[in-house]
This record gives sequence, structure tokens and C-alpha cells, in this order.
Amino acid sequence: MKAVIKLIILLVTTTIITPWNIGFANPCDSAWGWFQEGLALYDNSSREAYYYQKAIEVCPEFVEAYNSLGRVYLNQGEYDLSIQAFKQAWIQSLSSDLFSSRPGSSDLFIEPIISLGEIYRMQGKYNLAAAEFKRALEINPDSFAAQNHLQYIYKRLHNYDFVLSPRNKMLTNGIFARIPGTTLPQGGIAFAMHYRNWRQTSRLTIDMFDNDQIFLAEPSPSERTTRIQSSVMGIRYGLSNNFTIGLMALYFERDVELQFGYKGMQEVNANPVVRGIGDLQFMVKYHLWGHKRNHLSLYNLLTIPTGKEKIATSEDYIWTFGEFTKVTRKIPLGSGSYDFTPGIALTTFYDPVIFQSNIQYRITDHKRVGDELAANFGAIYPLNDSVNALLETGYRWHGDTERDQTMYVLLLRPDYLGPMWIPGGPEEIETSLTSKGGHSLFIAPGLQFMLARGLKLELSVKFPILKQAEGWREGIVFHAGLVMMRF
Amino acid sequence: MFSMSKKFPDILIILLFVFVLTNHLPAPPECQAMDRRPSPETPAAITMEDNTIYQNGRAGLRIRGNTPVEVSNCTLYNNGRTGLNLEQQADVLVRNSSIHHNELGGISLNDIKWIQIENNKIHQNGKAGVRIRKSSHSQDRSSTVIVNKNRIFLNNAGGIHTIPTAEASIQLTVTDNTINGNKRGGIRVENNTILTAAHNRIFSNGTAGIASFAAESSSPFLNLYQNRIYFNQGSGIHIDSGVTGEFGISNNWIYNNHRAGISCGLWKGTGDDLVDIVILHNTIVANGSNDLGAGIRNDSDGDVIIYNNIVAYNFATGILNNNCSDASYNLLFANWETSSFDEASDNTIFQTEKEQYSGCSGRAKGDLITEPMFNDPDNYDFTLTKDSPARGAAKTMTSPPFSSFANDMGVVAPFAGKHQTESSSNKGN
Repeated sequence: MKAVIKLIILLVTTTIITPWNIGFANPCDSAWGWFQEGLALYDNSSREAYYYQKAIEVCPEFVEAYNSLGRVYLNQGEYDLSIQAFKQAWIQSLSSDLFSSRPGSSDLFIEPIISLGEIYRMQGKYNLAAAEFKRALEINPDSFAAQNHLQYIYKRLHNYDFVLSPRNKMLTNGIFARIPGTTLPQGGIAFAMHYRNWRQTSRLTIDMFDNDQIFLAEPSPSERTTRIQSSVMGIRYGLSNNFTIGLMALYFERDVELQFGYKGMQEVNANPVVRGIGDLQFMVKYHLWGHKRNHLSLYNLLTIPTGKEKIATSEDYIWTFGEFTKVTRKIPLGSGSYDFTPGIALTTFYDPVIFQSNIQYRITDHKRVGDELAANFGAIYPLNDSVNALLETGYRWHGDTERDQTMYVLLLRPDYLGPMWIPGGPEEIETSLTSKGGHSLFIAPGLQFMLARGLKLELSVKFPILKQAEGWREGIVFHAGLVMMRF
Repeated sequence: MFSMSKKFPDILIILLFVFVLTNHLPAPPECQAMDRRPSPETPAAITMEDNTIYQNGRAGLRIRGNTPVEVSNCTLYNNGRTGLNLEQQADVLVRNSSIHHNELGGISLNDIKWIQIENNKIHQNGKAGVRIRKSSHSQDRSSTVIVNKNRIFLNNAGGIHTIPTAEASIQLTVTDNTINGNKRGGIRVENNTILTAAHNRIFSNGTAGIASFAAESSSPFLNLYQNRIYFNQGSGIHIDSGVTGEFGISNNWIYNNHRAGISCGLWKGTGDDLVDIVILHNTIVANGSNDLGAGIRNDSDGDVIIYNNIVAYNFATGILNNNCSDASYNLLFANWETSSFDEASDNTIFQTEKEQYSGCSGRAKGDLITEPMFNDPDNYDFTLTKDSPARGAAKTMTSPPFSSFANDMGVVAPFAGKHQTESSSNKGN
């Protein structure tokens, strides 16, 4: 019996003193006591520093102790010692299994980096400070402390472009929802240049003309097609923080394909091309209301009828009734009237998305162009520092137009009768052409690229979802533009 | 008697005698007269000194009744509830003590009459450093709490938290304290609390430095002046509802808080009867992060008057006022993503007045948009240089105490306490 008891005692004793059991007594557990002694003081005294040093001596991978020691040195003005301590904290946080396995350690991971940044800030070493804060943000983009310090550092560096997060660095106009609810700041200038290319078609029926000398090629109804390339150059300027003016000039190239006949002649396929300046648009915009990230503006676009009608002549001669014939017609490059387009624009920020919308109504004389109601809505989402993705949609309603149209048939002499370019004289046919209006809807995905500070490239494609039943039916619109803003 | 002494040690007999005396004899005259407001000069009837009270299952020390008690040079730690629990008309002075690592908070005050908490360290407790409740059932409807020269840090909830019911009130005076690293707000007051907070360093707390709420109909009454409030993870001062008095919110240095410097009515459409705030002569610098924050923002429908402040380097915007009015004679600079409105500079985007005012229409009367010229802002010294444009540019205030100050914008009577940095990894509770 005694032997059994002795055996049990022996076993228990052996168990207690086995090396693997001794191993459970982690020195870092005792270091925690030193650390707590320091925290209990919390007075940035040398004694407090001593406790943290003792904790580090016992447990060299004690990240919190390094941080606290760095903080004591920092508050004592011992910057070099403080930097050493924080650097050690960072190294240990990278290498220590003990630290990384501790609950909540991930939150503390960047603390030494932020502290280093703060020391550099206090020393006026802004670039070093910015590098540390950026490093912290690379690890944790949501670190408020790093964001806060970094924005201050950038401002001290007069490096304002990088103060904001990328989504706000971008210039945030939509592409088709082009007029935002914000106005330019006083003295701010924005230049815009963009190019659009699209094709539009319209059914051409005889009842659209009111002159019975016009007849359409068979089989009727025919279709007319116009390929349009437009270039716009615009400038906007902030007269005051709430009042912006702008002027936009358009340049058109219209390549028209049409089929019609005249007085029983053979069918004429005409492809006249016209180029020229379109109407000017003068914009005034007033920032009516702004609250937090919502901004509302009223605006008006005044159309100045600088776009003339161009006479276009078909390239091919047509031999008929003993004479060569060329077909010409008048193609408008502008509205021919002073039109007003009042509108309202709203821009709203729902971080990180920016919504931009506007609605406007164009009041015309119903001749070359009809009234138009347009409503646009765009959502702009920042993909990264320099790219925005856009998704825009728009609704249009066009009113009917009754356009005076002069159809020309130019009679030319054949060359064996004399110089070819001696005209036999044009014959004018006055008529009016009624184009029906209607509803249309489109959707337009796009991208904006920040090329340089204040310079943006934009690309977009507008797809029709709903086309007008009658009148002009717009096809796919390709858009490329450059926008430059200076403040 | 002799035979009894063999069974009962003499010391127990003495203790029993003292117990009988203290519970059944009439109280001394000075104690009977304690229905008046005591003062630090009032001698305490009981002094508890040089005690270490720890590892009890409940509170370390629980005091109730109106006998004046002084607790000094004591250490109360690792107790199962609060370190110090005062209840029902308690009348106590706590000083030079250390109260830490208690499970349910450092000091809990429930319906007490008067307490002064002075020169203590209250830290790393499981909940608030000092929690003050006052119910309408107590004899006195008002508690007076004076908290001065303490260090209240690293507690697992707020630093100081008052919770009176609607009919009761708490007069809380917080002066010359360092309140930092607490998991929630530095000072949070609710309902009918009359808070005077001055000469405090309040930093690196988990939410606002000072927060004021009204769960009931009555708003806290606030006088907050000459504090340094910085590095807090919420706003420097957040007023969901509150009314300011003679000093208003004045002469504070409020910087590098992660949300607004001063925010009013941020979380809900606070009615105009719950916010009536005057913000004067503060220097508010570099607050905000992640596109949020502002120097001063008022989202409430109440009255917020903003005069003679310097608001610079803040994220998002300088002054965001719900009604775009009542702000004047302020200096703004480099708020939002802008510097001043400097036409000569060509490297700024959105360099506008508008962004300084968050969309409101430009500067108001007496406003300046220019660099304030601090002495050493990188080292958190926001005093003005001799040539600062903020000098002499403030609106002259005719009412005391402001009439006696220099006519400068920003803080004109700064708190002398130094900036102190904390690494947030020090929260080893």
C-alpha cells in the first residue's frame, strides 16, 4: 500500500516538473504585470518608462509595451528614442506569433506606424509623415486616425489634390446628364470638348410633304438616314460661387442619304454632306439650394441661331430628258430661332456614389426643331483613384416640327454643249416637311479617366431602349470628350 | 467576564461595542446639520485613509446615508462590482485614491447629495470611470458632483457619465482633469445635467470628447471652456441636445478629432427647443476623416450661434450650419480640400469659399478666409503669431467674461495644459 502511495506521489511530482509543463509558464505572462504597473502610473514619467522596459526585457515581443514606451518618450520630447520604440513595435507586430494570435491585435497593428507618422509631423518632416500615414492606410484603409493626420499633412504640404479620397478628387459631371446641381466656384473655369457620332433614321412618306411635285422613290415608304458627327467646345465660368455662365459652340457634319423623285424622273439617290457651325448655346445657372451633399441649381440655355441652313448638292449627275441633273436641298445646322431651355439640376452624394440628374424643356418656334422635354439621370461610381464608372439614363420627348424645305433640282448642260459647270438653272420646289415627334429612352454606360490634375477623359456609348415611333430615330451614340477644370 | 474572554478575543468585544455605539447612539451635532450643502472645508465625520480594498465579490466600498465621509489615499481594485458605490444622500470626498480594474466601473453614484472626487486615478475599470445616476425618488432632486484634478483613463466605457431622470438634476463640475483612452465618450451627460467642464484634457476617447444628450424633454445645460479636446474617435464636442449659458462653448482647442470638431444634432432632426448653443472663441483644427466631419456642423433646427472662432484644416468643410446663418466673424482656412481663396495659387481643386461653408453662400460679415498663422500647429500649439490676421479681427463682445478678452479670433484665454499623446494600444484593461 505504501508503495502505491509512493508511486502516486512520484508520478504527480514528475508530472509537475516535466519540461513541457514548465513550458506553460510563458515569460510574457509575467511581462504583462510590468506593463500593467506602467499603465497604472500613466504619467509619462521615467518610472513608467522603466516598467515598460522591464516588460520588454522579459518578453521582447511585447508590442504594446513598445508602443507605450514610445508614447512616454514622445511626451517627454525624446523623439529619437520614441522612434526606436515604435519601430520595434512595428517589427515585433510583424514577426510575433504571440502578438498576432492575441484577440484584437489586428486593430493595434498599425498603431506604431501612425505614431511614427505623428512624430514626423511634430518634427515638421511632412513627407516622412505622409509616407507613414499612407502605409497605415494601405494596411487599413478605414483608419480614421491615419486619414485625419494625412489630410492635415497634405494641406501643410499644399498638396491639395491628394487630400480627398479618390471619389471626391474626381470631377464629377455626368456625360449625358451633363449639367450638375453644383455651380463652379467664383473664378473657376471649366473647358469641355467632346465629339459624338451617331446615325439617325426617319421614315419618309409622301404625306410628310405638302407639295405634290415631290414624289418618293419606290418602293414607298422610303427612309432617310443622316449620319451626324458633332463636336462641341464649351467654356463655363463661375461669376460668383452661386452663379455660373457658359457658352457652347457646336460644329456639325451631316451626311445625308435620301431618295426621292421629281416630275417623273428616275429615282434620285442623293447623299449630300454638309458641314458647319451650329447654334451657340449660352448658359446661365444659379445655385438655388445646397445642404450637406445635396445641391440644386436652376439654369437656362439660350440658343443663338448661328447655325445656318446649308445647300447640299448630290455628287452624281443624272442624265434625264437630255440634261444632266444634280439634286440639291437645304439642310439645317441650327434651329433658326432663339430658343429657351429652362431646367433644374440636382446633384446628390451618397458616399461613394454621386447621383446627378436634370430636367429641362426646350421652347421653340416648332419650325426647324420642335419642343423637347429631356430628363437625365446618372450614377457615378469611383472604381479607383483615377477611374469613374458611370451609368446614365435619359428620357426625351420631341414635339412635331413643320419645317419649310426648299428642294432644288439643278439642271446642268451636257459638256458637249458647252462648259459643264454652266448651270441650266436650278428649279426650286418649296414645300414643308412635317416630322413627327415622340418618346425615346436611352441608357449609357461610360467611363471617366483622370489623365492629369483637373483633366479628364470621358468615353461613353448611348444605347436606345425605346425609339420614337415616328420621326427621327436615333441610333447608338458614341461619345468621347475631354474636360479640364481650373480653380 | 474573565471566562468569556477566553472564548471571545478582546478585540472583538471592542468592535462590538463600537458597532453598538455607531448604530444606536445619537449622531454628533455636526452630522445632524449636514442637510446644508457641504464644502471641502466641512470636516468629515468618517475618514477612511490608506486602505487597500480589493478582490471583493461586490463593491469595494459602499457608502450610504448622509454622514460626511472622506476616502483618501485608498486603493480599490479588482472588485466584483464598482470600486466605490455611493447611494442615497451620500456626502463624500474622495481624493488621492486609485480606483482601477473594478468589474462594473470605478465610481458609481446613485442619488447622492454631494461628492467631490479630487486628485484620483480612475482607470481600466470594466465600465465607466464615474457613473452618476439621479432619480426623482431621491429626497433631494439635485446631486452635486465635483470632479477635479483626476486622471480618468482607459475605462471600458465612458470616462464620466450622468443619467438623471427628467425630474431630477445633476450639477456636474469637471475641472483640471485628464480624461483619455476611455472606450466611449470622455464626458457624456444626459437630460437635466448642468455641466461645467473647464481646463480639462480630453483625448483619445472612443467616441466624442464631450457628448450631450436628452432622452427626456429637458436638455443638459452646458458651459464648456478652456479645454483641450483632441484625438477622440467621434466629434470633439457632440451636442445632440443642449443649452449653453454664460460661458457657452468657448476658448477650447479642439483638434484632430476623427469626426467634427463640434457637432450639433447630428443623428436626428433635433427640435429647436432642444438645441440653443453659443460657440465663441474656439480654435478648431484638423478634425474629420474619411470625408466626414467638419470644423463646426449644426444639423439641428435649433439655434447655434458661431462667432469669433478659427476653423482650419478640417476635413469635409469648415462650418456647416443647417440654416446657413448665425455664423459670423470667424476665420476659415483650408477646410474641405482647399486652402484659402488664393487666386495666385494654381494647384488647388475646389479652392472656394463655398466649400469652407459647405455650400452656404460664402463668407458672412467679419469672416476671414486666410491662413490663421498659428505659432506651431504641427506640435499642437495653436496660439497666434504676432502678425496673425486673426488678431483684432473678432467681433467685440460686450458681455462678461468675453468683454475682458483680447479682440482676437479663436481661443483668447487658452488652457495652459500641454498636449499629451496616447497610443491607442494602451488599452490593457
